[in-house]
Amino acid sequence: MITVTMPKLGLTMKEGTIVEWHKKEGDAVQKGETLFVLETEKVSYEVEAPEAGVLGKIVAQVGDVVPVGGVIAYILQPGETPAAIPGQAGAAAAPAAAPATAEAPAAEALEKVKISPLARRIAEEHNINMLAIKGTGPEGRIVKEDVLKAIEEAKAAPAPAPVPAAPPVAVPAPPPPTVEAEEELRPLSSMRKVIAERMTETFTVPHFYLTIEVDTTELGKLRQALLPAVEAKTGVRLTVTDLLIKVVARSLEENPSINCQYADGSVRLFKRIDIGLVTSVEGGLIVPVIRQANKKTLAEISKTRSELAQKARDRKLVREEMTGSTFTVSNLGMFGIDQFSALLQPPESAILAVGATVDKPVARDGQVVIRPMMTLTLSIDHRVLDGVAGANFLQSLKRYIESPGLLLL
Amino acid sequence: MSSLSREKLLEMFTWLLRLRRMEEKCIELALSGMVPGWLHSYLGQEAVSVGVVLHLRREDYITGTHRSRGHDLVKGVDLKRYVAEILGRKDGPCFGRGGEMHLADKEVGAMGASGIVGGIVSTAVGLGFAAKYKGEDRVSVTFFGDGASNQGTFHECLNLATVWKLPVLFVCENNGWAEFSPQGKVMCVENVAARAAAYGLPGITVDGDDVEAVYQAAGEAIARIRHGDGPILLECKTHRWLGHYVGDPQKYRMPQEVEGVRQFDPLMRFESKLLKEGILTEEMIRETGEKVRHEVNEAIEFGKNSPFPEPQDMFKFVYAEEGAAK
Amino acid sequence: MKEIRYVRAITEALDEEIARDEKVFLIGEDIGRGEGIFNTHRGLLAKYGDKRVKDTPISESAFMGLALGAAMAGLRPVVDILFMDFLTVCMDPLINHIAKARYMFGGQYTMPITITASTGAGLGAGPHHSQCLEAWFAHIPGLKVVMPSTPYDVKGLLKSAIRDDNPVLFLYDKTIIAVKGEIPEEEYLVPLGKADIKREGTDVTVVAVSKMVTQALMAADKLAAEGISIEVIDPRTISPLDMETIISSVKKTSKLVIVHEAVKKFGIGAEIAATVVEEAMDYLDAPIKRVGAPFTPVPISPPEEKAYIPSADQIIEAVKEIAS
Repeated sequence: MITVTMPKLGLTMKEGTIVEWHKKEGDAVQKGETLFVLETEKVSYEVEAPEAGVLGKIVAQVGDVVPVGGVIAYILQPGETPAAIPGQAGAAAAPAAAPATAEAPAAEALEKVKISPLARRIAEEHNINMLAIKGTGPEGRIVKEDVLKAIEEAKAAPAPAPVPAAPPVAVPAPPPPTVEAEEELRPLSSMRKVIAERMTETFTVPHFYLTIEVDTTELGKLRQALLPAVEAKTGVRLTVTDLLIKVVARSLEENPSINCQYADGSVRLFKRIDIGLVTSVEGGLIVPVIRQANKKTLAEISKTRSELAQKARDRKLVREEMTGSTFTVSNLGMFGIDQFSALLQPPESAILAVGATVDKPVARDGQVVIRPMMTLTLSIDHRVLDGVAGANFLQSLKRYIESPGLLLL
Repeated sequence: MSSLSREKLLEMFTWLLRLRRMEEKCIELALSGMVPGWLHSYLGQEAVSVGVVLHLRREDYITGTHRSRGHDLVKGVDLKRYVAEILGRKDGPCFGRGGEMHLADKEVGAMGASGIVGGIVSTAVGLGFAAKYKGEDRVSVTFFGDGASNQGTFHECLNLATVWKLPVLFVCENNGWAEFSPQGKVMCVENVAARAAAYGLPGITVDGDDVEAVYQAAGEAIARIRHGDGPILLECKTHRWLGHYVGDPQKYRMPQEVEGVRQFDPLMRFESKLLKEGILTEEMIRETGEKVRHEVNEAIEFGKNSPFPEPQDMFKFVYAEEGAAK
Repeated sequence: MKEIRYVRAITEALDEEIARDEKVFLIGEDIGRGEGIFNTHRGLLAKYGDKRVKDTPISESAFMGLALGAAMAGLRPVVDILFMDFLTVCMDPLINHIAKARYMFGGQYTMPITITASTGAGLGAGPHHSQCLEAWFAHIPGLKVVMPSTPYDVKGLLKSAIRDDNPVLFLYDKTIIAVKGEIPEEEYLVPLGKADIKREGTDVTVVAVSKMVTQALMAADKLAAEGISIEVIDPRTISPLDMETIISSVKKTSKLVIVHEAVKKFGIGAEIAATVVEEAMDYLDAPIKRVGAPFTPVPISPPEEKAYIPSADQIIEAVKEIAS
C-alpha cells in the first residue's frame, strides 16, 4: 500500500491546500497520472501517483489544509484490500493548528527539529508530532519533559473519529497503448513533460524581442586578466557567462522594472535578483538559479555557477536550486549560434538570449576595424513591459560589457 | 685435525646443509609470493646457529631476531611446522601468527623472536633471571645483530645481566650490515665484543663463518655460564649474502662486495675441510644431500598444504582465557 | 573492618600476594632499600629478601623486558615504574612485546605481569612526573588498565591484577596516597572490569576516574543541596571498561558527564561518550559533557597547576549545563 502524503515543494512550505481531485476512490491509477492538485502560498502543483494501483481512500478532501508529510490518500497495490488502510488516517487532514498527534510529518523537516535523542525516541513511540512541540531545553531544544507534557495534552484531546473501511476493489490491467507500424511511441520523460507544458504556456504570454550588438573587446580582456586570480581562488575557470551574469545583475539593479512578473492583474516587482541560467543536460534543459547575483562577487558567481552546473549534470539539484528565478539568461554562444530569441520562462517577464562572440568589421571613428561582437536578444512580456524599458536595460548591458571597469563603481 | 668427534662433525655438516637447503627453498617460496610480508634471508650465516645451538639442551632457552631462520630449527622446531608458520598457516607453532619474524616454539625452548631490532634481548635476560630465580641450571641464549648493539636496551641488558650474574649468552651475529647501513658508518668500534668491557662481562670475537671456531667458543662460554659465572658476549663475524630481505635490490652495496662474501661460505669451507681430513666422502655428501633434500621437500609440501586460520580466528589469544596459564 | 591509607592498601596487597605465591616477585627502581618513592613497598625487602624484591639499575627498558622473559618462564613479575611518565622509556617491551606475546606466539604464553605506576598532578612535580596517560594504554589490545580511587579498591584490584594472567597496568594516584578508607580485615578481591557506583542518583550520571571520583563526590554533595541528584560511577578498570554499568545508569538519568584528570582531548572520556552514543543515543536527553585537563603539559607553578587539575566546581558547572 502506498501512502500519498503532502509533498514539500520548497524550503519554506509547511502546508498545502487540496484544490482539485482528478481521481475518486476506487479508480485505477497509473504511475505518473495526476491524482490531485494542491496549492501553496506560492504555486499550484499537480501531484502524480507514485505507483500504479487503486485509489483506496481519499483522506484529504478539496479545501482541506494538510501539513507537509500529512496523509492525503492511500493507493492499494495488487492483492491488497482496503482493510490494510489505517483506521485513524483522518487526523492528517486537520486544519492549520494540528494537534500533536498528527500523522508523521515529512522526514526532512523532522530531522531538523532540535530535539534530544531521548525526547525524539519517546515522541516517536507515542506518535507525537515533534514539529508542534515547543522546546524548553538549552537553546530551545525539545527535551524529554516537553514530550511528556505533549503526550499528556494529547491524551486530554478527543480522539479522531474512525474512518469506515472502503469496499474491496479489483485492480484492472492498464490498457496497452496503440502504435502504428513504422512508428515508435516513446513516453516523455518527466523533465520533457515539464518543458513541453512550460513552453506551451509561454505562448499564452504576449511577448516581443529586442536585439542589440555589443563589442566584447574589453570584457574579453577583463576575463583574461581575471582568469588566474579567479582560478586560484575558486579552482574554477571564469567564463564569459559568469561575467554576463554579473553584468545582468548590475543592469537589473539599475532597471528594477525588468525584474518583475505579471501576476493576475498585478505586477510583482522583485527586490531580490535571482538569475536563472538555462543549462543543457541529457534529455532536456534545467534552469539552476544563482541567488542574489547582484550581491555576489565575480568569483562567487563563477563558483556557484560551476557547482550548480555540475549538480545539474549529475541530476543532484534540489527543488530550491531550480525555482524562484526572477530573470533568466540563455547562452548558446558556445554552440556557435550567432543570434536567437529565447522563449520566456513563465511567470518571468524577461529572458536574455546570448549569441556567440564573432569577429566582425565595425566602424570606429570613421574607420572599419575588426572587433569581437556579440548579439544579445531580450524577450519581454508586453503585459508588464514596453520597448523603452527593454531598450534601457539593453543599453545598460552594452555599457557594462564595453566598459566593464564601470562595474567597480 | 679437529679435536671434535667424527659424529659431532658430521652432525654439524648435516645441519649446515639442512639450513642451506631449507633457506633456498624458503627464498623460492618468498619469490613466489607465498610468504606474507618479508623473508629476511639467513644465507651465509648458518655456522653461527649450528655452532652455538648444538651445545644447548632442550630446556635451555633461545630468543632470536627477524633473521633467525637457523637457530629455531637446530633447537628442535619441526621443519614442517616451521614452514607452515612462515606461510601463516594453522599448523605453525604460533598458529600462523608469528610468521617469519616472530616465531616461537616453547616446547623446544625456542622462546620467541622479535621484529624490533634489539627488542627481545631483554626477554632473554628475563628467561635467564627466571632460571636463576628457580635455581635451575638452564642457559638463556639471545641472538641479535650488530645493528641491535646500537640500541639502548642492549646496553641496559648487558649491564643488568652482569650486575645480577644471570645465565645469559649474548650472541652477536655481526654480518656487517644493519639493514641498509654498513657497520663502519654507524659504529666506531670494529668489534661489538669490545662493548662488553664497559659493563664488566667477557667479550669474545670469533670467525662466525667457521663452524668449528664458533662451536669451540660457544662451548666454553656456555659451560662457564651454566656454572654460574655470569653472562658472556660472543661476537661471531659473519656475512649476509643477500639484502636485508629477499628482493632487496641492495643499491647501497657494491657488486664486488655482494659477490665477494660468497668466498666465506661456511658450508663449503667445512665440507672441503672434512673431505681433506677424510671424515667426509663424495658419496656421503651425495647421500646426506639426498636425505636433506627429501626432508626439506616434505616440509615445504606440508607447509603449503596446511590450512590458513579463519578470519574470525584473529580474536583468539588477545587475552588469556580463564585457566590459560599452565 | 579497619581503616587504612591508600598507599598502605598497595603495600598490603603486594605483601599478601608475594606471600601467597612464590612465583610472584617485585622489581623496579628503589623499591627495596628505598621502599618505593611513595613508600608503596614499605618493609617488603626486609620481610622477603632480595630474591623476591629486586632493586634495579635505572634501566626501565631492560627490566620491563626482563619481566616478559620471566613471565614466559612461568614467573609472575610485579614491575614498579614509579611515575607513569617513565613508561615512555620502556614502551617497546611493554607495547610491542608484553602486550602482544600471547597473541603473536599463538597462545603459547600467558603474560601474568603487573605494572604499578603513579599518576596525577598536584605536587608541583611538573611535566615529567604528573601525567595521566591511561588512554594510550587502554588503546592497546592485550593490556588491561586499572585506576582505583579508594583504599578498598586499591587492595582488591591490585591483588586481582597480580593473579590475572594478562599484563595489567595498575595506576595509582600519588596525590591521594594518604587518603583513608575502610577495608575488611579478611582477604578480599575486587574483580577487574567491574565499575562501582560510588553514589546513587537520578538526574545526571557522572563517570569519574581515579582522583576525580573524590571531586565528583564533593560535587555531588553541593549539587544535592541545590536539588540536583547525580550518580557517581567509578569505572575502576579502564580496560576492559564496564560500559554496561555506565549505559544502564545513562538509561536511568538520560544525562552524562565524564571526568578525568588526563587531558580532555582524545581521553577515555571520548571513548565512553562515543560508546554511549553508539549504544544508547536514544536515551540521551542532553549533550554529553566531558571535564578534563586542558591541552597543555602539566605546569609546575602552583597557580597554573591548580587551574590545570579538573575540580569539583568544573564538574558542578558541567552538570548544571545539562541538568534542566
